[in-house]
Amino acid sequence: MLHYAFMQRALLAALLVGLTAPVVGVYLVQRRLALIGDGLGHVALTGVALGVLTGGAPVLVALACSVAGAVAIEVIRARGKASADVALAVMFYGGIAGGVVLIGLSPQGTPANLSAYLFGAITTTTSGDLVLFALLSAVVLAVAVGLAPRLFAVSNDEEFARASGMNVLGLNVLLAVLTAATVVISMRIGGLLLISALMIVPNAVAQVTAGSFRSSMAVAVGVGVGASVAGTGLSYYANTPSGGTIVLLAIGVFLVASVGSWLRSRWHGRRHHDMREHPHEHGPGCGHEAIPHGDHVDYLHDGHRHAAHGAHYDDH
Amino acid sequence: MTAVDHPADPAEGSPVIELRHTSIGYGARPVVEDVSLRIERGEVVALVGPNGSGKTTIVRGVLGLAPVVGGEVRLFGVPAGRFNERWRLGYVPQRHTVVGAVPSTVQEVVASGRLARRRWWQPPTAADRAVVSRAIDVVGLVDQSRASVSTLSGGQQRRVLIARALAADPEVLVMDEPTAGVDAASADALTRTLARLVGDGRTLLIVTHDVAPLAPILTRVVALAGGSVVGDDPAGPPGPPGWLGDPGLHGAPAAG
Repeated sequence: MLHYAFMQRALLAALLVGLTAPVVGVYLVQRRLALIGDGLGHVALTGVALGVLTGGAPVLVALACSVAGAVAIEVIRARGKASADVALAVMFYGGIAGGVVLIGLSPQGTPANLSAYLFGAITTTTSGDLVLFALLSAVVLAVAVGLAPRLFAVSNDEEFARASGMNVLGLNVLLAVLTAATVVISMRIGGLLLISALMIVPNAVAQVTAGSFRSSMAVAVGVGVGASVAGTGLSYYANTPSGGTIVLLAIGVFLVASVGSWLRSRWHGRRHHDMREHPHEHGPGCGHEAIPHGDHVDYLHDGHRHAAHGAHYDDH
Repeated sequence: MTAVDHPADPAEGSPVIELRHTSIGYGARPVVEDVSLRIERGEVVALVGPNGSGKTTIVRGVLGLAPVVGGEVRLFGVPAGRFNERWRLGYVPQRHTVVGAVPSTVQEVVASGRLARRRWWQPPTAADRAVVSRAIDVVGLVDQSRASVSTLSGGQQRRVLIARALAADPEVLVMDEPTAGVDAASADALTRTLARLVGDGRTLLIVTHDVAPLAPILTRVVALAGGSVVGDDPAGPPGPPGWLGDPGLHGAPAAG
C-alpha cells in the first residue's frame, strides 16, 4: 500500500493526529471536559460548509470557525451562569444544522461530500492539506508541551491557579484554541462525528495504566500514534472507513488495559491496602495496638498487622 | 523551609491583610457586610463561626476569588486590585481530595504551586526544584513524593495541598478547614507541621469550625455570625511547654 501516494499522505496525516490529539486531550480529560471536542467538531462543520459553498479553503475556514467557537465556549463557561450548559448545547446544534444546510445549498454539495466530512475520508488528504496539518501540529505540540506545567496547574485546580495570580482565563482560552486547531487537524481522519475520540480514548488508557501526569501523556501519545497509524493501514486492507477503524482499535486497547489493571489490582489487593481505601493513618495513639517490627512499627488492624510502605499498607 | 525573606513593602509594617468596611459577595445581598479586620505579620488567626457566617467568603474575597462589592481589601499595604504578588499569600483550599481525572504524583501537584514564582517562558531551575522538595519534606511526604495522589489517604492529600501552597514560599498561609474530616492523629500531625511554619515567621489565617486541634498555635480567634465580626479575642493559653519541639512524632509513619 505504501507505493500509493495517497496512502503515504494518509499515513503521515494519521501520524500527525495520533501525536497531537492525545497531548491536547489530556488537559480536556483533566478538566472533565471530554465532550467539548465533539461540540467543537459540530461548530467546525459550519466552517467546512462555508468553505465548500464559497469555493474557498474549507480547512482554513473550518479553523477560523472552530477557533471562534472555542473562544465563545470559554467566555460562556467563564461567566458561569446556570444556563451555560444549555447555551453550549444550542451552539453545537447550530453548528451541525448550519453545516448540513450550507453543504446542501452548495453546487458541489452531494450526500457523499457531506459524509466524507462526517465520517472521515483520510485518503482525500492533499499535499497542501498535509503541509497545513504539519504546521498546525507543530504549533499545537510546541504550545501544549512547552506550557505543560501551567496548563496542568489550571486544569488541575482552577481556583488555586487564580489565587496564586496565574492568568486563568488566558490559559483556558489558549487550551480552547489548541482544541479547535486539533479538531481541524483530525477532521479528515476521524470525521466530525468521531473528532474528539482520538483526544480522549488514548487518555482513557493512560488513566487506568499510568501513575503520573508525565507518564499519562507518554502512554496516551503511544496509544494515539499506534491506533491511528495501524487503523489507517487496516482500513486500507479491510476496506473500512478510517475514522471508525482507528477509534475501535483504540477502544480495544482501552478494554484490554482496563481488564489488565483490574486483574493486577486484585492480585495486589490481597496483601496490600491502598491508603485511599484506608482513610485512617496509623500513628502513635491512633487506637490500634503498635507492634515494633524490625526497623518499623506495625499496627494491629482487624486481626492482621499493617505496615506503612510508601502510599499503602502491607499486611505482615 | 528556610526563613521567609521579606520583599520591600511599599508600606513596611502595614498589616499583611486589612479589610476596611468590606462587603463581599454576589448580587444585591453580599454574604459579608461592612467587616473591618487587620491581620499583622506573624499572627496565627482562626476565623470561626457557624455555617453561612461568611468565614469562607472573607477568605475568598481576600484571595480574589469572590468579588469585593464594598469597602476595601489591602494586602501588604497595597489595594488588592493593584496587588500583583499573589504568591505571597499561599492558599490551601477546602478540598477533601486532590485527585483529578488524570493520574498525577505528589511531586507534580506540589510543583504546580511553584509556577506563580516564575514567568511563563522560564523552565524550573535547580533552586525551584529544591523548594518543591523542601515543601514535600515539611509536610512529611518524602516517601510518597513519586506516588500517585490517588493512592494517598485523605489526611495525606490535605498535606499535599499544604505543600503545594508552600512551594511558592508564601509569607501568609490562608487555609480553609484544614482539619475537617481528618482523624485526631492526622490533625495533630497537621498542627505540628503548621507550628513549624509559624516558627519560620509565617502568618496564618485559618478558617475552621473547630479550634481545639489548632489551639496550641493560635494567637487570636475572630468569630463571625451572619456576615459580621461578633468577637475578636486573643487565643487561650498556649499548649504545654515543649509541645512544639517534640521530635519524632510528626509526619508519615516510618517506611516498612
